[in-house]
Amino acid sequence: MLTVKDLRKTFYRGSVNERVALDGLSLSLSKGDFAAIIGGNGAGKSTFLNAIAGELIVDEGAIEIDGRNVTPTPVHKRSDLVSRVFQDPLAGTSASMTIEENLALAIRRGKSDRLKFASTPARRKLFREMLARIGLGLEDRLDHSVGLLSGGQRQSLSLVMATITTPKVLLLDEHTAALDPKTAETVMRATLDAIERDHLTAVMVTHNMQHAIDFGNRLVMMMAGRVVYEASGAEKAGLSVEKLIERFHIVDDKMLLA
Amino acid sequence: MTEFLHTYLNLAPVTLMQGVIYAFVALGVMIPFRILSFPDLTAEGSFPLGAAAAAAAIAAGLDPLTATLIAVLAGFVAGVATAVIHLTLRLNTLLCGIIVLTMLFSINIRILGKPNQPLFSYEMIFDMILGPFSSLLWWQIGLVGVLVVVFSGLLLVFLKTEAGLAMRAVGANSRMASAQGISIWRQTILGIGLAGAMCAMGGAVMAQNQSFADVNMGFGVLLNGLAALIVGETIVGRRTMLQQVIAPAVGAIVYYQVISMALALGLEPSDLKFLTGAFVLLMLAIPRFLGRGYAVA
Repeated sequence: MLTVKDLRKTFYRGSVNERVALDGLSLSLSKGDFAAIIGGNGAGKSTFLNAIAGELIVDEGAIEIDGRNVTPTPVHKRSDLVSRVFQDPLAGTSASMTIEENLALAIRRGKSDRLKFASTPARRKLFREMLARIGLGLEDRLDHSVGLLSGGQRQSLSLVMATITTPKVLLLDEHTAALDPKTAETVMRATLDAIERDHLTAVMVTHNMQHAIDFGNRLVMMMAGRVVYEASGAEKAGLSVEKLIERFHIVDDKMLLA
Repeated sequence: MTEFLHTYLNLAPVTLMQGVIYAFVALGVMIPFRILSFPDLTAEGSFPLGAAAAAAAIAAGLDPLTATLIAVLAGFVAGVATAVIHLTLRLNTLLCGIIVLTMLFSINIRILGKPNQPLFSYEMIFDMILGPFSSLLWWQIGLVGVLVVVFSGLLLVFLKTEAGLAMRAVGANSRMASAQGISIWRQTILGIGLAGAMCAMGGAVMAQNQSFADVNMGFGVLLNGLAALIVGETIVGRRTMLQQVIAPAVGAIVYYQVISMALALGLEPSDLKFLTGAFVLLMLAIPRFLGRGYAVA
C-alpha cells in the first residue's frame, strides 16, 4: 500500500546549517498495516511524514501509494490517497468555520470543486453519525464554530475529517502529544476504532514507546534519517520499553517520559 | 441646523447613488480581506481600469452592456495578475497590489488614449435598461441597487457551495486546505480575480453614471471600500456568511451618508480622504484598546 525507497532529503544544502534529515530511508507497508514510528529528536520522523504527505518533496528516492508514484506530487494532489492528523489541534481544522463546514471540506477531498451546496440533510445525518462514534457530543453541535472547541475536541474532529473518505494511508503525527492524558486516551481510542473499522493503513509517529509497543502491528525505529530497527508479529508482541532501551541505549528522555 | 438639513437632504440622493456604486468596491475589498486573508490594494487600479475599459468600449461604439462586461473581465485579469505575482514570487500581497495598481495607471491611459474620456453623447447602461426613466436619479439608484443585490446574492450562494467552501478554507487555514486537496493557487487566483471584477464593475458603473472616466478616479477607493466594509460589519456583524456578504453593501450606503453629513456640515470634499483614514484607524484602534482582536488584514 505504501512503499518508500531510499528517500533522501537534506535541508539547507551547502550552508553551514546543512542537515541530512532522511538518509536512504526505505519502508514498505501492506494494506492494513499500522506502523508506529519512534526515534529521538532529529531522527527524521516528521520529515518522513511530511514527505509522505507531500508537504516537502524529497531530493532522491521514490514514494508509491496504492501503486501510484507520488514522489513529485504536491499535497493537494495526493490528498485523495493520504490524509493526516497533525500534532497541533489547530492545524487540522479551520477555527472560523463550523464543524459541519470542516467536515464538508473533508468529505470532498480528492474530488473537484463543484458548484453544489455543501450542506445537505443527508450529509448532516452522516456527519452526526460519524461524530456520535467518538462520544464527545459534537454531533449536536454541527453549526458551532470550531474555534469554540477544546483541543481534544478539535483533534477528534480532525481525526473524523482524516478518516471520512477512507484514505489509502492515514498519517498520525504525534496527534495525541498536545492533549491531556485523559483526552489523549479518548482520541487514541477513536483512532484505533477508525483504523480497525476501515482496515486503514496507518503510520503513527509517537514519542511514547509504550504506545508504539501496544498499538499497531509494526514498530519502526528511526535514527539519523534511517530505519535502524523494525519489528512485527511475535517479535513486536514480545517487546517491552525496557528491552528497547537496553537494546538501543536510548538516552533521550523525551522518548521515555511521553 | 435647518441649513444643515437642507444641504444634507439635497446631497442625500447623490451620495446614495455613490454608496450603491461603491458597494461593488466594498464587495471587492471584502473578498480578499475577509474570505482569502489576502490584504490587497489592487482595487485602486481595478476600479479606474473598469471605468477606462467601459468608457473606451462605449466611445468605440460598443453597446453599454458589452462594455460593462469587458470592464468586468479586465478587472478579473488585474486581480489574477496580483494573485499570480504573489503566488510565484512569494512577495507580500500588499506589495503585489501596489505594483499592479501602479502599472495599471499606464495601462488605463493607454486604454483611454488620454487621461480622461467624456461620455456625454453616448448611450449608457442606464439608458439601455431604464429607457425613458434613465435620467431620474431614483430609478438609477434602483437599478444599481438591484445589481448590487444580485451580485451579493450570487456571491453568498457561491460561498455556500463546495467550491466556495474551498475558497474560504484557503483564507481560514491554508495548510489544512492543502491537506483537504484544495489548490491554494486556484482558489487565490479565482478569488482575487473575482474581487478585481467586482471593483471594475463599480468603476464601469461609476463612469457611466457620471458620464466620464478619469484615470485618477481610483485614488483612495481602497480605503473607502475598507471603511464601508468596517461600517457594514459593525452594523450587521460578520459571524455568518450572510452577514459577511450583506455588510459591504450596507456599509457602503451608510458610509456615504456619513460623508454626505460631513459635507453638509461644511467640510471640503478634499478633507474626506483624511477623515476616512482617521475613521479606519479609529475603528481598528477601538477593539485593540478594548482588548478584543479585530484583525482587518
